[in-house]
Amino acid sequence: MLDEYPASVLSEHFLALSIMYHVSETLGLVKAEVTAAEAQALRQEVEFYFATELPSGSDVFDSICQFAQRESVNAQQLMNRPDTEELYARCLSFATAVIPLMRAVRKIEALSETHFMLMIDDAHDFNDHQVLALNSWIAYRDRSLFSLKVATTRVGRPETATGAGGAIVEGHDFITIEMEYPLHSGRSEFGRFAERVVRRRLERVGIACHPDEFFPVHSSLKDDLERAADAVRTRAETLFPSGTRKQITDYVYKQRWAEYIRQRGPRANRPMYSGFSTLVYLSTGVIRNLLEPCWWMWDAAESEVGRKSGNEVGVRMIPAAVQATKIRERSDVAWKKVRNLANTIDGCSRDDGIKVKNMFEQLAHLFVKRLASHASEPSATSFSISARSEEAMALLRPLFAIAQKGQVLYVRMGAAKTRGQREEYYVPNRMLWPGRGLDPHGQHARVSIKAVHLVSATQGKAIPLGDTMDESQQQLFRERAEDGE
Amino acid sequence: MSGTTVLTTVSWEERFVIGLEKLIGDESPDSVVLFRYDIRTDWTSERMADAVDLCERSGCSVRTVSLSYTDGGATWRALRDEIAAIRTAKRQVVVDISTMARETMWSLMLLLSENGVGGRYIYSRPADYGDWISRDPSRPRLAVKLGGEMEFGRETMLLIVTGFDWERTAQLIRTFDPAIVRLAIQEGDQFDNETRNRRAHEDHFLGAERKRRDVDMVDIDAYDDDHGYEVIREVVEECSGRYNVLMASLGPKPSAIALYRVQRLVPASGLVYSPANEYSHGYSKGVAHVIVGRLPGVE
Repeated sequence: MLDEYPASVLSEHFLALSIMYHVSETLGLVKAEVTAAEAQALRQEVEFYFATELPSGSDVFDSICQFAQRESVNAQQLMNRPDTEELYARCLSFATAVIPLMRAVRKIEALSETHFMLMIDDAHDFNDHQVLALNSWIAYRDRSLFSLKVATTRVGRPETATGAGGAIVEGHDFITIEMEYPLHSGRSEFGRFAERVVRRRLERVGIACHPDEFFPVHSSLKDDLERAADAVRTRAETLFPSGTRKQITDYVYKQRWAEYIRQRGPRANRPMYSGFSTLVYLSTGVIRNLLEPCWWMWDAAESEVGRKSGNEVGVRMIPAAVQATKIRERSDVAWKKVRNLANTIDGCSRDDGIKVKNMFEQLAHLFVKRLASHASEPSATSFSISARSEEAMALLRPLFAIAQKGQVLYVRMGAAKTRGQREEYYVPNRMLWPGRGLDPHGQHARVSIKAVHLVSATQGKAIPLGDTMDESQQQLFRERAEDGE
Repeated sequence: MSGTTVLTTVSWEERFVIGLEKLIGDESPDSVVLFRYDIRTDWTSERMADAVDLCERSGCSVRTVSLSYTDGGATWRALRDEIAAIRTAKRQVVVDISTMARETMWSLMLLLSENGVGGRYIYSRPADYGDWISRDPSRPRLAVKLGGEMEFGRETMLLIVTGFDWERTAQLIRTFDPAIVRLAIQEGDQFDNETRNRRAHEDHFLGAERKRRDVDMVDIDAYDDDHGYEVIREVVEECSGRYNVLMASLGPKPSAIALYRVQRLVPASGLVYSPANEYSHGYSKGVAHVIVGRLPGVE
C-alpha cells in the first residue's frame, strides 16, 4: 500500500535481511573453524557497523540471525500499525547489509578466500521491486566477493531492468543455463545428466545399482515391443528390399510403438509404462518432472515392501507394476492440471482455461488417430505451427503462455523446414501421453499444424488428420544424431 | 453519540437491498454509506439506484464511496478517511458484512476499533446459493495492516475456513506451501454442505496431500455466536511461536470475524485475502435469516 519509492526500499530491506539471515545460518555450520578471538572481532564489527548490540549468550552467527530477524519483525510491526504509513527508518539493502557482512566474514582466516555463491530460487515469484533490486545486484561489477545463481521459470521470467534505471545484458552481466532440454533420450546430454542425478540419489540410500536395474522394464512391455519390432523389421525388409541398414533401423524405430498398439487391439489395457528410459522421456527434459514420479514410486514401493515383509532392508528396486501404476496416476494428474489451469495459473480466465483444455484434448485425439493410421510418423507427439496469421497467433500465444506456466507445454527451438532456419516448436508435457496410450518417446518427429486448425481446436473442433504434415526430415534426424541418438 | 451510520457494500445480490431495508427499519439510521467497488459496476447500478431511492424515501442521507477491488492500499485510505469522519462526528455504526469483501471487512473492523467507533455488524444469510459462486481465483494477498509478523527460517501453518470450491483451497496451499494445513469445515448439511464442502475436501486433501504436509480438519460453526472463534484460536495458539501462521476464509462470511479476532489476539499471525476474478450473477437468492453481533475491539 506504500508509494513506489518506499515500497521498493522496504522490499529490498526484507530481501537483504533474508539473505543476511541465511548466510549467517549457513556460516553457523562451520563455526568450529572460527576462533574465539575472530568471533569476537566479527561481533564487534557487526555491532559497530549496524549500530546495534548483538544478543550475547549465543555464537556470533546465531546472533546475526537474531539481528536480521528482529529488524525484519520491527519493520513488519511498523507496517502493520494502523495509525501510520511511515517507512521503517532503519531499512537496509544488499549494499548496506549483505556486502558488509560478507566482507567482515572474510576477515576470519579460515574463510578469507571465501567466494559467496548466493542461490535464489523461484525469482519469478518476486515482486516488481525485488526484481529491480535483484537485477541491480546482478549488475554489480565486482565479482570477487560473491556470485548469484538465480532460478526462474522460462515463462514469467523477470524483466532485466535494474533499480538504477539500466538493464542487465546476457553475456555481459549474466548467462542463462537452460534447465529444459530439447531432446532427451537415455544417451542424450539430459539422459546422462538424469542418470547421474538418480545414481547419486540411490547411492545416498545405499543402493549401488544402475537406474536401469532400479527401474526395470515390465516383462510384458519388453516382450511385446520386441515382437512388434520384429514384425516391423520384416515389413521393412519387404518394403525396402535394397534399403540400407539405417533405413531399416529408422523405420523400426518409428513404427515399433504403433505396431505394438495395433497388435494389442482397442480393448487392451493401457500399456505397462516402465523402465528408466521411459521415465527420462516422460520428464520432457525437466529434471523435476523426472524426480516427482520417482518419489511417488518410491513411496508406493516402500509401503509395499513394508506390508509384505516388515523387514528393514527397504526398497531395493521399483517393481515394474508399481512404476506402471504410478505413471498412470501421474498422467491422470497431468490431465487434471490441463483441466484446472483457470484455478491454478494467475491471469488465466475460465474461458482461456477451457480453450487450452480443448486444444490439448484435440491434440491428443490427433496423435491417437495418427498412431492408429499414419504411415510415416505415427508416434509424433510434438508440433509446429504453419500458415501463421497475426490474428490466429494473437489468439494462440497467450494460451501457449498459460500452458507453459502450467508446465503442460514446453516451447523449444529446432530446425525449420527451410534449410538453415530455426523455428519454435511445441512439446506437450509427455506425462500426458500414458493416459492416452501414446508413445512416451514421441520419436522426435513433429507434426506441422496450421494455425487456423489450432484456433478451431480451442473451440473443441477436431484437427483434420489429412491437413497436417510431418517434419521428420533430415534436419531433425541430424539434430538427433548430434544429441547422441 | 450523535447518530447511527450504516456501512454497506453495493452488490447485485438481492440481499443487499433486502438487508438495507431491514436495517433502516430496525436501526433507524440517519445516514448510509454505500461502498462500491470499481468492478462489475454495470451489474450493480440497478440495485444501487434502488438503495439510494430507499434511503431518500426513509429520510437518510446517503453517500457513495468508491473502493478499489484490486488495490488494497487505496481501499484502506478511502476507508480510513471515512472512519475518521465518523469518529469526528461521534457516530456509531452498523456494518452490513453480507456483500462486503473480507479484506474490506477486516480493514473496517481494524479502523473502527483503532478510532474507538463502536457498533454492530449484521449478516444476511441467503435463502440459497447459485450453482456456482465464484471462480478464477487471483493471487492471494496478505490483508493490509493485518499481515502478521513472518519470521525467517520458519515453516508455515495455514488455516483455511473452507467453502464449496476446493480448488480455491488448493490454490492457497500451492501459493504458501505450508508444512501444516488445518481445514476448518462448517458443520451441518445446509446447501448440501456435507458433499460440496466436507466430502470434497476430504477427497482432495486427506489422501495424497498428506504425504507432502500435515493436513487435518477441524469442525467449526460459523453461524454460532462466536463464529468458530474458540476452535480457530486453539489451533492457532498451538502453532504460534513455532510456525508462521496464516489464516484465510473461503467459507461462511461470519468466520472472517472469528479470524480477525484471532489475528488481534495473536498479532504475529496474518490474514490472507483470496480474491476471485469471476463471480456468479446468480450468487445468492433471498435472505433466510439475519445474524447480528457486536463489532470486535470496542467495549
